[in-house]
Amino acid sequence: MRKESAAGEIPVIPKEAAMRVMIPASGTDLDSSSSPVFGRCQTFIFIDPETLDFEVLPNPALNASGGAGVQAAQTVLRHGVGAVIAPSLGPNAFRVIQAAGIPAYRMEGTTVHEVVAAYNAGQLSLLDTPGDGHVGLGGGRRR
Amino acid sequence: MKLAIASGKGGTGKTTVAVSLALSLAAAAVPPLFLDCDVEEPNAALFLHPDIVEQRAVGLLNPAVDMARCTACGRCAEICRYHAVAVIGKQVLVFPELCHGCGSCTRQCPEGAIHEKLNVMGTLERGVAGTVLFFQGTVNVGVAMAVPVIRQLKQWALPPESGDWPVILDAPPGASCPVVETMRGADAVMLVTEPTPFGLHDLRVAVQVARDELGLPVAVVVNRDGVGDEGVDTYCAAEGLPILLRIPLERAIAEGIANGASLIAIRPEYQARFVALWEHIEGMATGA
Repeated sequence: MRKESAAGEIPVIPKEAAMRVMIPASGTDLDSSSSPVFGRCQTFIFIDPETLDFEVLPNPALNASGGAGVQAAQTVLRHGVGAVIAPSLGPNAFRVIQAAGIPAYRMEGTTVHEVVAAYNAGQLSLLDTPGDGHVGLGGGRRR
Repeated sequence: MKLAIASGKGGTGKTTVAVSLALSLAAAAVPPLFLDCDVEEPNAALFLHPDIVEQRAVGLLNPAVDMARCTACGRCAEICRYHAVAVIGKQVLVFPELCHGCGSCTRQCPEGAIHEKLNVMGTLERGVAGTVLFFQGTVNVGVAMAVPVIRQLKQWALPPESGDWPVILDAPPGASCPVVETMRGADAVMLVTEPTPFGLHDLRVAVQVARDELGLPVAVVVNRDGVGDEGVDTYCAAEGLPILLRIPLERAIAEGIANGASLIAIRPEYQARFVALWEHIEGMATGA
Protein backbone atom coordinates (compact mmCIF):
# COMPACT_ATOMS: atom_id res chain seq x y z
CA MET A 1 0.00 0.00 0.00
CA ARG A 2 2.19 2.81 -1.24
CA LYS A 3 1.14 6.30 -0.36
CA GLU A 4 1.29 9.47 -2.39
CA SER A 5 4.83 10.72 -2.67
CA ALA A 6 5.57 13.34 -0.05
CA ALA A 7 8.19 16.06 -0.18
CA GLY A 8 10.59 14.03 1.94
CA GLU A 9 10.79 11.10 -0.42
CA ILE A 10 13.52 10.85 -2.96
CA PRO A 11 11.99 9.57 -6.17
CA VAL A 12 13.50 7.18 -8.64
CA ILE A 13 15.75 9.17 -10.93
CA PRO A 14 14.06 10.04 -14.24
CA LYS A 15 16.04 9.21 -17.40
CA GLU A 16 16.81 12.79 -18.41
CA ALA A 17 18.08 13.59 -14.91
CA ALA A 18 20.26 10.50 -14.92
CA MET A 19 22.33 12.11 -17.66
CA ARG A 20 23.24 15.03 -15.43
CA VAL A 21 26.09 15.31 -13.00
CA MET A 22 26.17 17.64 -10.05
CA ILE A 23 29.19 19.82 -9.29
CA PRO A 24 29.31 21.90 -6.09
CA ALA A 25 30.36 25.45 -6.92
CA SER A 26 30.87 28.91 -5.52
CA GLY A 27 28.96 30.73 -8.26
CA THR A 28 26.26 30.51 -10.88
CA ASP A 29 28.00 29.79 -14.18
CA LEU A 30 30.54 27.45 -15.69
CA ASP A 31 33.42 29.83 -15.03
CA SER A 32 32.62 29.79 -11.31
CA SER A 33 35.07 28.22 -8.90
CA SER A 34 34.34 24.64 -8.04
CA SER A 35 33.62 24.42 -4.33
CA PRO A 36 36.24 22.98 -1.97
CA VAL A 37 33.40 21.61 0.19
CA PHE A 38 30.22 19.69 -0.57
CA GLY A 39 27.70 20.13 2.26
CA ARG A 40 28.21 23.85 2.63
CA CYS A 41 28.94 24.83 -0.98
CA GLN A 42 27.21 27.94 -2.31
CA THR A 43 25.51 26.37 -5.31
CA PHE A 44 24.83 23.03 -6.93
CA ILE A 45 25.41 23.08 -10.66
CA PHE A 46 23.54 20.28 -12.46
CA ILE A 47 25.08 19.88 -15.86
CA ASP A 48 24.65 17.67 -18.88
CA PRO A 49 28.28 16.89 -19.65
CA GLU A 50 27.62 16.46 -23.38
CA THR A 51 25.56 19.54 -24.17
CA LEU A 52 26.83 21.62 -21.22
CA ASP A 53 23.23 22.62 -20.52
CA PHE A 54 23.14 23.42 -16.85
CA GLU A 55 20.91 24.46 -14.02
CA VAL A 56 21.93 26.23 -10.80
CA LEU A 57 20.39 25.49 -7.43
CA PRO A 58 21.33 27.44 -4.29
CA ASN A 59 22.38 25.09 -1.50
CA PRO A 60 19.77 25.27 1.29
CA ALA A 61 22.25 23.63 3.69
CA LEU A 62 24.81 26.43 3.32
CA ASN A 63 24.09 27.82 6.78
CA ALA A 64 22.57 24.73 8.40
CA SER A 65 23.41 24.47 12.09
CA GLY A 66 24.08 20.77 11.66
CA GLY A 67 23.45 17.94 9.25
CA ALA A 68 24.51 20.02 6.25
CA GLY A 69 25.89 16.97 4.43
CA VAL A 70 22.68 14.97 4.81
CA GLN A 71 20.53 17.92 3.78
CA ALA A 72 22.74 18.79 0.81
CA ALA A 73 22.85 15.19 -0.40
CA GLN A 74 19.09 14.81 -0.13
CA THR A 75 18.55 18.07 -2.01
CA VAL A 76 20.83 16.94 -4.81
CA LEU A 77 19.15 13.53 -5.08
CA ARG A 78 15.69 15.02 -4.96
CA HIS A 79 16.62 17.30 -7.82
CA GLY A 80 17.58 14.34 -9.97
CA VAL A 81 21.12 13.46 -10.86
CA GLY A 82 23.05 10.52 -12.29
CA ALA A 83 26.39 11.19 -10.62
CA VAL A 84 27.89 13.49 -8.07
CA ILE A 85 31.31 15.10 -8.25
CA ALA A 86 32.75 16.37 -5.00
CA PRO A 87 36.13 17.18 -3.48
CA SER A 88 35.20 14.75 -0.73
CA LEU A 89 32.05 13.61 1.04
CA GLY A 90 31.70 13.50 4.79
CA PRO A 91 30.53 10.22 6.36
CA ASN A 92 26.85 11.21 6.41
CA ALA A 93 26.65 12.64 2.90
CA PHE A 94 28.60 9.61 1.67
CA ARG A 95 26.03 7.25 3.22
CA VAL A 96 23.15 9.12 1.58
CA ILE A 97 24.76 9.16 -1.88
CA GLN A 98 25.71 5.49 -1.54
CA ALA A 99 22.17 4.54 -0.56
CA ALA A 100 20.93 6.21 -3.73
CA GLY A 101 23.22 3.91 -5.71
CA ILE A 102 24.71 6.63 -7.89
CA PRO A 103 28.44 7.08 -8.37
CA ALA A 104 30.47 9.85 -6.78
CA TYR A 105 33.66 11.08 -8.40
CA ARG A 106 36.56 12.91 -6.83
CA MET A 107 36.59 16.46 -8.14
CA GLU A 108 39.54 17.85 -10.04
CA GLY A 109 39.72 21.32 -11.56
CA THR A 110 39.33 24.79 -10.14
CA THR A 111 36.37 25.91 -12.24
CA VAL A 112 33.16 24.10 -13.11
CA HIS A 113 34.30 24.08 -16.73
CA GLU A 114 37.54 22.34 -15.87
CA VAL A 115 35.73 19.78 -13.73
CA VAL A 116 33.35 18.89 -16.57
CA ALA A 117 36.28 18.64 -18.97
CA ALA A 118 38.09 16.30 -16.61
CA TYR A 119 34.92 14.22 -16.20
CA ASN A 120 34.42 14.01 -19.97
CA ALA A 121 38.04 13.00 -20.42
CA GLY A 122 37.53 10.15 -17.94
CA GLN A 123 40.13 11.60 -15.60
CA LEU A 124 38.07 11.51 -12.42
CA SER A 125 38.45 8.61 -10.03
CA LEU A 126 35.60 7.11 -8.07
CA LEU A 127 35.13 8.55 -4.61
CA ASP A 128 34.65 5.30 -2.77
CA THR A 129 35.48 6.19 0.83
CA PRO A 130 34.05 8.91 3.05
CA GLY A 131 36.29 11.81 3.99
CA ASP A 132 36.37 13.75 7.24
CA GLY A 133 33.15 15.35 8.39
CA HIS A 134 32.74 19.07 9.09
CA VAL A 135 35.38 20.18 6.57
CA GLY A 136 33.12 23.08 5.59
CA LEU A 137 33.05 24.43 9.14
CA GLY A 138 36.62 25.64 9.15
CA GLY A 139 39.09 24.95 11.90
CA GLY A 140 38.70 25.45 15.59
CA ARG A 141 36.88 23.68 18.32
CA ARG A 142 33.12 23.40 17.97
CA ARG A 143 31.86 24.48 21.35
CA MET B 1 18.74 29.02 45.66
CA LYS B 2 20.21 27.41 42.58
CA LEU B 3 23.55 29.00 41.73
CA ALA B 4 25.35 28.28 38.46
CA ILE B 5 29.11 28.80 38.51
CA ALA B 6 30.53 29.59 35.08
CA SER B 7 33.43 31.49 33.59
CA GLY B 8 33.57 31.74 29.86
CA LYS B 9 37.31 31.14 29.86
CA GLY B 10 38.43 27.69 30.90
CA GLY B 11 40.82 27.15 33.78
CA THR B 12 39.85 30.24 35.77
CA GLY B 13 38.86 28.27 38.85
CA LYS B 14 35.17 27.41 38.47
CA THR B 15 35.58 24.04 40.10
CA THR B 16 37.87 25.41 42.81
CA VAL B 17 35.21 27.96 43.72
CA ALA B 18 32.26 25.59 43.34
CA VAL B 19 33.83 22.88 45.48
CA SER B 20 34.94 25.33 48.17
CA LEU B 21 31.51 26.92 48.23
CA ALA B 22 29.87 23.50 48.65
CA LEU B 23 32.21 22.51 51.47
CA SER B 24 31.76 25.88 53.17
CA LEU B 25 27.97 25.56 53.10
CA ALA B 26 28.18 21.99 54.37
CA ALA B 27 30.41 23.14 57.23
CA ALA B 28 27.84 25.82 58.01
CA ALA B 29 25.17 23.11 58.34
CA VAL B 30 23.40 23.94 55.06
CA PRO B 31 24.62 21.04 52.94
CA PRO B 32 24.03 21.67 49.24
CA LEU B 33 23.35 19.58 46.19
CA PHE B 34 26.38 19.73 43.95
CA LEU B 35 25.94 19.09 40.21
CA ASP B 36 29.03 18.76 38.06
CA CYS B 37 27.55 19.82 34.71
CA ASP B 38 30.89 19.92 32.89
CA VAL B 39 29.97 16.58 31.39
CA GLU B 40 32.73 16.62 28.79
CA GLU B 41 35.33 16.79 31.54
CA PRO B 42 33.83 16.47 35.04
CA ASN B 43 36.50 16.95 37.67
CA ALA B 44 34.81 18.13 40.88
CA ALA B 45 34.89 14.54 42.11
CA LEU B 46 38.69 14.79 42.26
CA PHE B 47 38.25 17.30 45.11
CA LEU B 48 35.00 16.13 46.71
CA HIS B 49 35.78 12.37 46.69
CA PRO B 50 32.14 11.29 46.68
CA ASP B 51 31.04 7.73 47.36
CA ILE B 52 29.01 6.90 44.26
CA VAL B 53 25.82 5.07 45.20
CA GLU B 54 23.95 4.97 41.89
CA GLN B 55 24.75 5.06 38.20
CA ARG B 56 22.51 5.19 35.19
CA ALA B 57 22.95 5.32 31.43
CA VAL B 58 21.43 8.29 29.64
CA GLY B 59 20.99 9.40 26.09
CA LEU B 60 18.42 10.32 23.53
CA LEU B 61 15.61 8.29 22.06
CA ASN B 62 16.48 7.71 18.42
CA PRO B 63 14.08 6.42 15.78
CA ALA B 64 14.19 2.76 14.82
CA VAL B 65 12.28 1.88 11.69
CA ASP B 66 10.30 -1.31 11.14
CA MET B 67 10.96 -1.79 7.43
CA ALA B 68 8.09 -4.30 7.12
CA ARG B 69 5.65 -1.48 7.84
CA CYS B 70 7.55 1.42 6.27
CA THR B 71 6.21 2.63 2.91
CA ALA B 72 9.12 5.04 2.36
CA CYS B 73 6.66 7.92 2.22
CA GLY B 74 9.39 10.26 3.41
CA ARG B 75 7.38 12.00 6.11
CA CYS B 76 10.06 11.32 8.75
CA ALA B 77 12.82 12.88 6.65
CA GLU B 78 10.59 15.82 5.81
CA ILE B 79 9.69 16.55 9.43
CA CYS B 80 13.23 16.25 10.85
CA ARG B 81 14.72 19.71 11.15
CA TYR B 82 18.09 18.22 12.09
CA HIS B 83 18.33 16.06 8.96
CA ALA B 84 18.86 13.02 11.12
CA VAL B 85 16.64 10.89 8.89
CA ALA B 86 16.96 10.47 5.14
CA VAL B 87 14.69 8.40 2.92
CA ILE B 88 16.47 7.27 -0.22
CA GLY B 89 14.35 5.15 -2.52
CA LYS B 90 12.98 2.53 -0.16
CA GLN B 91 15.74 2.87 2.42
CA VAL B 92 15.51 4.89 5.60
CA LEU B 93 18.82 6.15 6.93
CA VAL B 94 19.07 7.32 10.54
CA PHE B 95 22.00 9.46 11.70
CA PRO B 96 22.15 9.12 15.50
CA GLU B 97 24.75 11.85 15.95
CA LEU B 98 22.39 14.37 14.34
CA CYS B 99 19.24 13.23 16.18
CA HIS B 100 18.04 15.51 18.98
CA GLY B 101 15.54 12.94 20.23
CA CYS B 102 12.48 15.16 19.71
CA GLY B 103 10.27 12.23 18.68
CA SER B 104 8.61 14.09 15.80
CA CYS B 105 9.34 11.36 13.25
CA THR B 106 7.87 8.71 15.52
CA ARG B 107 4.67 10.66 16.07
CA GLN B 108 4.35 11.74 12.43
CA CYS B 109 4.86 8.31 10.83
CA PRO B 110 1.50 7.50 9.19
CA GLU B 111 2.23 3.75 9.34
CA GLY B 112 3.33 3.65 12.97
CA ALA B 113 6.52 2.07 11.64
CA ILE B 114 8.88 4.00 13.92
CA HIS B 115 9.57 3.23 17.54
CA GLU B 116 12.17 4.82 19.78
CA LYS B 117 15.24 3.21 21.23
CA LEU B 118 17.72 4.68 23.67
CA ASN B 119 20.98 5.79 22.11
CA VAL B 120 23.28 5.79 25.12
CA MET B 121 25.40 8.95 25.17
CA GLY B 122 26.70 9.04 28.70
CA THR B 123 26.36 8.20 32.37
CA LEU B 124 24.82 9.93 35.36
CA GLU B 125 26.15 9.28 38.85
CA ARG B 126 24.88 10.13 42.28
CA GLY B 127 26.77 9.95 45.55
CA VAL B 128 27.58 11.59 48.84
CA ALA B 129 30.63 13.57 49.86
CA GLY B 130 30.25 14.13 53.58
CA THR B 131 26.92 15.92 53.76
CA VAL B 132 27.14 17.21 50.19
CA LEU B 133 24.79 15.42 47.81
CA PHE B 134 26.87 14.91 44.72
CA PHE B 135 25.73 14.41 41.11
CA GLN B 136 27.75 14.27 37.93
CA GLY B 137 27.24 13.51 34.28
CA THR B 138 29.83 12.13 31.90
CA VAL B 139 29.30 12.17 28.17
CA ASN B 140 30.86 9.25 26.31
CA VAL B 141 34.03 9.90 24.34
CA GLY B 142 33.15 10.73 20.75
CA VAL B 143 29.67 12.03 21.51
CA ALA B 144 29.42 15.66 20.43
CA MET B 145 26.15 16.48 22.21
CA ALA B 146 26.55 17.43 25.86
CA VAL B 147 23.21 19.17 26.33
CA PRO B 148 20.99 16.08 26.64
CA VAL B 149 23.26 14.65 29.34
CA ILE B 150 23.24 17.94 31.29
CA ARG B 151 19.47 18.23 30.93
CA GLN B 152 18.91 14.71 32.22
CA LEU B 153 21.40 15.23 35.04
CA LYS B 154 19.39 18.24 36.20
CA GLN B 155 16.07 16.41 35.82
CA TRP B 156 17.40 13.54 37.90
CA ALA B 157 19.03 15.63 40.62
CA LEU B 158 16.39 18.34 40.80
CA PRO B 159 12.92 16.85 40.40
CA PRO B 160 10.11 19.42 40.65
CA GLU B 161 9.28 18.29 44.20
CA SER B 162 12.90 18.60 45.37
CA GLY B 163 12.15 21.68 47.49
CA ASP B 164 14.46 24.50 48.37
CA TRP B 165 17.86 22.92 48.84
CA PRO B 166 20.92 25.01 48.11
CA VAL B 167 22.07 23.89 44.67
CA ILE B 168 25.48 24.50 43.13
CA LEU B 169 25.81 23.89 39.39
CA ASP B 170 29.41 23.68 38.18
CA ALA B 171 29.16 24.73 34.52
CA PRO B 172 31.37 23.78 31.59
CA PRO B 173 33.68 26.45 30.17
CA GLY B 174 32.58 28.47 27.17
CA ALA B 175 29.31 30.25 26.55
CA SER B 176 27.52 27.89 24.20
CA CYS B 177 24.60 25.46 24.54
CA PRO B 178 25.99 23.32 27.42
CA VAL B 179 26.55 26.47 29.50
CA VAL B 180 23.09 27.81 28.67
CA GLU B 181 21.58 24.44 29.62
CA THR B 182 23.44 24.54 32.96
CA MET B 183 22.25 28.10 33.72
CA ARG B 184 18.67 27.48 32.66
CA GLY B 185 16.44 27.43 35.74
CA ALA B 186 19.17 28.81 38.01
CA ASP B 187 18.36 31.75 40.29
CA ALA B 188 21.73 33.43 39.88
CA VAL B 189 25.09 33.02 38.15
CA MET B 190 28.53 33.47 39.61
CA LEU B 191 31.23 34.07 37.03
CA VAL B 192 34.78 33.17 37.97
CA THR B 193 37.36 35.11 36.03
CA GLU B 194 41.00 36.05 36.10
CA PRO B 195 42.18 39.65 35.71
CA THR B 196 43.75 39.20 32.28
CA PRO B 197 42.63 40.30 28.82
CA PHE B 198 41.64 36.66 28.13
CA GLY B 199 39.62 36.46 31.32
CA LEU B 200 37.93 39.77 30.53
CA HIS B 201 37.10 38.83 26.95
CA ASP B 202 35.34 35.65 27.96
CA LEU B 203 33.76 37.28 31.02
CA ARG B 204 32.01 39.74 28.70
CA VAL B 205 30.63 36.89 26.60
CA ALA B 206 29.48 35.00 29.70
CA VAL B 207 27.75 38.14 31.02
CA GLN B 208 25.95 38.48 27.71
CA VAL B 209 24.63 34.95 28.10
CA ALA B 210 23.77 34.97 31.81
CA ARG B 211 22.56 38.52 32.35
CA ASP B 212 21.54 39.81 28.92
CA GLU B 213 20.03 36.65 27.41
CA LEU B 214 18.84 34.69 30.44
CA GLY B 215 18.11 37.73 32.62
CA LEU B 216 19.84 36.29 35.70
CA PRO B 217 21.59 38.20 38.48
CA VAL B 218 25.35 37.94 38.01
CA ALA B 219 28.20 38.30 40.50
CA VAL B 220 31.92 37.91 39.90
CA VAL B 221 34.79 36.13 41.65
CA VAL B 222 38.29 37.19 40.65
CA ASN B 223 40.78 34.36 40.89
CA ARG B 224 44.57 34.76 40.64
CA ASP B 225 44.09 38.31 41.80
CA GLY B 226 47.26 40.29 41.29
CA VAL B 227 48.18 39.00 37.83
CA GLY B 228 47.22 40.82 34.66
CA ASP B 229 45.71 44.27 34.59
CA GLU B 230 42.83 46.47 35.73
CA GLY B 231 40.55 45.53 32.83
CA VAL B 232 38.23 43.21 34.76
CA ASP B 233 37.83 45.70 37.63
CA THR B 234 37.09 48.57 35.26
CA TYR B 235 34.58 46.47 33.32
CA CYS B 236 32.79 45.19 36.43
CA ALA B 237 32.53 48.71 37.87
CA ALA B 238 31.14 50.07 34.61
CA GLU B 239 28.62 47.23 34.32
CA GLY B 240 27.61 47.29 37.99
CA LEU B 241 28.74 43.71 38.51
CA PRO B 242 29.72 43.07 42.15
CA ILE B 243 33.08 41.39 42.72
CA LEU B 244 32.26 39.28 45.78
CA LEU B 245 35.56 37.53 46.32
CA ARG B 246 39.18 37.84 45.28
CA ILE B 247 41.48 34.87 45.53
CA PRO B 248 45.12 35.93 45.26
CA LEU B 249 47.70 34.20 43.10
CA GLU B 250 49.67 32.40 45.78
CA ARG B 251 52.02 29.50 45.42
CA ALA B 252 50.62 27.74 48.51
CA ILE B 253 47.10 27.82 47.08
CA ALA B 254 48.23 26.58 43.67
CA GLU B 255 50.26 23.77 45.23
CA GLY B 256 47.42 22.71 47.49
CA ILE B 257 44.92 22.57 44.63
CA ALA B 258 47.39 20.71 42.44
CA ASN B 259 47.55 18.15 45.25
CA GLY B 260 43.77 17.78 45.26
CA ALA B 261 43.02 19.92 48.32
CA SER B 262 40.12 22.36 48.38
CA LEU B 263 40.71 26.05 48.86
CA ILE B 264 39.13 26.00 52.33
CA ALA B 265 41.39 23.14 53.38
CA ILE B 266 44.37 25.27 52.36
CA ARG B 267 42.98 28.57 53.65
CA PRO B 268 40.28 27.88 56.29
CA GLU B 269 39.49 31.60 56.58
CA TYR B 270 37.79 31.34 53.18
CA GLN B 271 34.96 29.26 54.61
CA ALA B 272 33.21 32.25 56.19
CA ARG B 273 33.86 34.29 53.04
CA PHE B 274 32.15 31.68 50.87
CA VAL B 275 29.15 31.54 53.19
CA ALA B 276 28.92 35.34 53.09
CA LEU B 277 29.22 35.23 49.31
CA TRP B 278 26.37 32.73 49.12
CA GLU B 279 24.18 34.91 51.33
CA HIS B 280 24.99 37.99 49.26
CA ILE B 281 24.01 36.28 46.02
CA GLU B 282 20.87 34.93 47.65
CA GLY B 283 20.00 38.55 48.43
CA MET B 284 20.63 39.50 44.79
CA ALA B 285 18.49 36.61 43.56
CA THR B 286 15.54 37.45 45.77
CA GLY B 287 15.95 41.18 45.26
CA ALA B 288 16.43 41.65 49.01
